[in-house]
Amino acid sequence: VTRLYLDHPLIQVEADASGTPLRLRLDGETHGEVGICNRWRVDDDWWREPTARSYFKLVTRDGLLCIIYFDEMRGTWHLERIFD
Amino acid sequence: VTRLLALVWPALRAPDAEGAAFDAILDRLDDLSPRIEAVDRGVALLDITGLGPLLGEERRIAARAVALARGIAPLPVKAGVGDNRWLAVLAARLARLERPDAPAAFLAIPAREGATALAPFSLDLLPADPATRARFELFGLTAMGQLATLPQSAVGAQFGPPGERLQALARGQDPRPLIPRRRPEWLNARATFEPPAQGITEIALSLRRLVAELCDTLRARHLAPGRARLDLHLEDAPSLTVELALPEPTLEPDWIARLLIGRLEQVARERSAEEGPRIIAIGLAFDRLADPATRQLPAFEARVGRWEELRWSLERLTMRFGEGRLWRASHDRPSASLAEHRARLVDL
Repeated sequence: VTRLYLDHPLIQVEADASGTPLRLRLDGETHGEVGICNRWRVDDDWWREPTARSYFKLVTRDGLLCIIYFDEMRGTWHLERIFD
Repeated sequence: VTRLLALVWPALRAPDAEGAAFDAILDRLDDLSPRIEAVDRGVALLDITGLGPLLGEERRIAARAVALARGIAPLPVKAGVGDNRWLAVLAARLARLERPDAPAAFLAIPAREGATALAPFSLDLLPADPATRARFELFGLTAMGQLATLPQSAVGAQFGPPGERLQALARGQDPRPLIPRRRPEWLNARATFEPPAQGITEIALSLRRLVAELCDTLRARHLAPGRARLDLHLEDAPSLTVELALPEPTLEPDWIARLLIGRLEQVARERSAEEGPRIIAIGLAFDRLADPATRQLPAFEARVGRWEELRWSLERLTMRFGEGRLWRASHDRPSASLAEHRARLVDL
């Protein structure tokens, strides 16, 4: 089961020079040793309200499996989905 | 020997015919025989075995049934009598009006003479699929008598089990029993208010008590209602009626009472915005009584009442947790690239 966050809460992410997440901070807790399971880009709605996002499906050392993305239009990191 | 009377109302078999008249006719025919089956809309089967000494010959029994039915709706009817359901329904199909303005047509296939009576008739009367019909023709079989006299094993070898069933029908045999319908029953309770009650909230307790009383009565008989009807008798205003069809027979007084009140409030809101008239009495009725424990669901068919059951569960959840807490997920664009565009939540 996954929980989809439709309000896409802001999260703090520490990324390397290529933009790959290294550590993230969620609900006051830091999750390190990030392993990237998958990554993809979404460029959509360019004719209306352009969206450009870099998505990461990642797993952390403490077992958190989630999908986060970097909003390239705003320069912010967001949480989209947490897997149980 | 079993004798069955089939009654067919061609006017009620039309797709746009009203079903209420047929139900009322069946209720009226209960006076003649307790064993009645509604085979299809506009087709009824009555077991008239042993009614001879009481009501006379079969034609008279049929005439009596027709008279009872015409008391509800004066529609032309075709009546047939036979030893089993196939012969009775076939006799009704073959019955012809003696004069154009006659109210009914009647034909009886004499007892134990099914095979002889059917022999000259065309095989087209059998409920066979077109392919089997074509194969009958290929074998030169055109009359029931020809098929009936063939050895059963030969028919089985050529046409399989369906062919054997058709041969049995051609021989005037039909093992399917008549399945009598359950006589419709209403269970009623009533409460009066002196002085009259001012609003719906004032009657809620009485309604809850009435529902509990009826549920207790039914529980003792191991039955549960499938439908509830609440009549509100108002001071200086026409009565108000709400009906609640339950997706499955249930014996939960709280839910039934709450849902009835919910429906009532909805109807009252639609009727008038200002304060409604005072309530003199309430009448509660349960029907579609069924055994809750032995309800069987078909194993390999789509569940007909599934959405209705879901709606019922959701309604109960809404009652328990309040309005605005349940949503339905609507998958509008399942292939959208952004997750938030794939589905949206809709208020129930």
